[in-house]
Amino acid sequence: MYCVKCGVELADSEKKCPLCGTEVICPGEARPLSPAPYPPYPGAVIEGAPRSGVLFVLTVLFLIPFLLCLICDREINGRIVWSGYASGALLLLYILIVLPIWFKRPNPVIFVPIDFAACGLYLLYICAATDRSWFLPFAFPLVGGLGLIVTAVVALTRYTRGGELFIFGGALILLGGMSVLAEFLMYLTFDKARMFVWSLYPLSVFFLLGMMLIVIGICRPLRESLKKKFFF
Amino acid sequence: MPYGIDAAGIEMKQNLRWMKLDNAAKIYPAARRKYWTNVFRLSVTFADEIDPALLQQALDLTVRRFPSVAVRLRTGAFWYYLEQIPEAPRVMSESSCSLNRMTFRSIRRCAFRVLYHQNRISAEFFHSVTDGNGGLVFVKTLAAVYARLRYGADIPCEEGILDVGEEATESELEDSFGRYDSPVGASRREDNAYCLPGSREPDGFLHVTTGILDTDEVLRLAKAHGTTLTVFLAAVMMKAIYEIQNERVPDPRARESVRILIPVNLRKLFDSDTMRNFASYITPGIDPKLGEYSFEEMVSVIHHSMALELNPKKMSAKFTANVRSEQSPILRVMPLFLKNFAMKMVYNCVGEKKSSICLSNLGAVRLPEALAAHVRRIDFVLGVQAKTPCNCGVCSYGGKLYINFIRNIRESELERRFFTELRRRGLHILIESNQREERHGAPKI
Repeated sequence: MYCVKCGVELADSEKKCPLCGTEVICPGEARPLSPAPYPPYPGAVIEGAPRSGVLFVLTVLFLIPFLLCLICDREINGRIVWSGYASGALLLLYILIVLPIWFKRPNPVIFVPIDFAACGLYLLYICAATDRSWFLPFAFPLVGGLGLIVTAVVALTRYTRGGELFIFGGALILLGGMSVLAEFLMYLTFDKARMFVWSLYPLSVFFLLGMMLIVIGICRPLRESLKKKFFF
Repeated sequence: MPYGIDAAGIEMKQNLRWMKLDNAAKIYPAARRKYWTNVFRLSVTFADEIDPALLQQALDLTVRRFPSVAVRLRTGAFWYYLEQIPEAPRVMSESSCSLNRMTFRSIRRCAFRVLYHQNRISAEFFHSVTDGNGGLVFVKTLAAVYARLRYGADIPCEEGILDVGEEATESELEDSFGRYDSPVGASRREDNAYCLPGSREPDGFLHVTTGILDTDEVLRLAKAHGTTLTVFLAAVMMKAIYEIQNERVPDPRARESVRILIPVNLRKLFDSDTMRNFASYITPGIDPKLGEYSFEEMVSVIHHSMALELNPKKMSAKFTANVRSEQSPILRVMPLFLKNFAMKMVYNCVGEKKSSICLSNLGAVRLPEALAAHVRRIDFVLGVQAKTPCNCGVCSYGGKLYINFIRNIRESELERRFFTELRRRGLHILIESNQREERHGAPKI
């Protein structure tokens, strides 16, 4: 009998074409099947998924110092003094590095905000543990702002085609703005004597670099000539 | 008895022979995975159903002639080695074990096995023991001994059949790589090749698809393209993989080379009758980044790379590179577990990434007429590699060409394209396979 799709002749043991999966069409006559050339598959070996094993080991490796710090601190001081910072840092590291590996295709647009949120929480803990009040007026807007910029860059580069020069140019300008914001917030929170001491330097550098990228993005002949000069 | 041998005289020899792994064999124990070892199969199909008791008897007689095949793998402090086994393993029904899948534990007991199913005798070899041609000599001899027992046939010891009454010669047991190495080794650098995509069978099932063609028809077609059968088949294979990649990877700049690994029997180039590994390979390939390739161009690329590479000097330089790395003092004094680790890393990073598929052509298998009268068919089934999902073993016997594809993925895209391309070129193809019903929970071990 022949496969109607592939045109190859099929041995009498074949119920369907092994090449394309088409059922054997045998009009008007019963087709006796001859014994299969190979016996049925007797056993199965399950291909192990090594990813979960590796992750399990990594998690345990993180857990060991995490718990040791807490126990040691409690033994010495009777309460959590320094171990909170160490264990918190380990947890933060775990979230930054290991957490995305749990997923087959981790989406950075989701994980970047998660990472910034984790950083924010860690800073909140330090702020609370040291009995200070700099989190809300200083750390929160700074981490939040940086998180927004990085997430926007990641999302735009991932979901839009082209326009990288504009995205990175814009991000650089915003980063310059962030440095000014940072100094302004420091001035408000930590009671500095002068308002703008250093932030204008990064602002001007970032602004100029960002504008340069945008101009290159806009001006096609410039882009072409730069490509000619700097291709590698 | 026509095959009479002085069995007792050989049996008395109690000191078991041991030998170092030959140069090509060293990589296979190190490269193994938990569920993968490099195994290949040679099958002889008789006209009648196989008698297991006679087959066992035939095997008992045959293994004594092949002290380098009837071995098990043993662990030394610095290297693995092969040790002759005192008696032949039991023949097994094919239904009791999985095709081309030997566990490392069983290789430590015996590095080959003989199976029977209906009319077919199959021998599966761990690749460290021998290569396809060495295995073929063993299988032919086994088949001859079996046919003498079963049919009382008077089968002469010719066409590669050895006399089981004789002792193995030293030259059959030698590592010929060491004998024919050249002063300098060739560079092993090659760019990575395209690896066929697909979803793995979770229970490790291996699909075998056999295409049976008329050898003369294929030869005629190959001649029409001014080339040999192997080159023609390799070009059809290359075209199939090239088209799969073109469809899957739309951006030409992201496409990888398509390379076909074609093993070469070095016994034809060098004067050697070793029963151990003595094969090298060539990897003709095309780079799709350079543009579109026509079938004729592929034929020409493969044909000319074979012409350029297939000479003793080039081949010797090629395997000398491996011989030199084996002789490296640092590698030699490394304990086995470190060596395994290092060799596995090299194998994983380099070994399998350099070719898209292996197309091994054992060539025309000839048998003495007295044996050929009982033998219907001969098959050569490679195992899959650890990573590359498909492999293809070819041999011809009795005017028929048997092309055995094996794969560990569900998709039969490569086979379909390969055989339909041959079909389009006017060849008649008979297909058979070990396909199973849609999986409904295969038993677990």
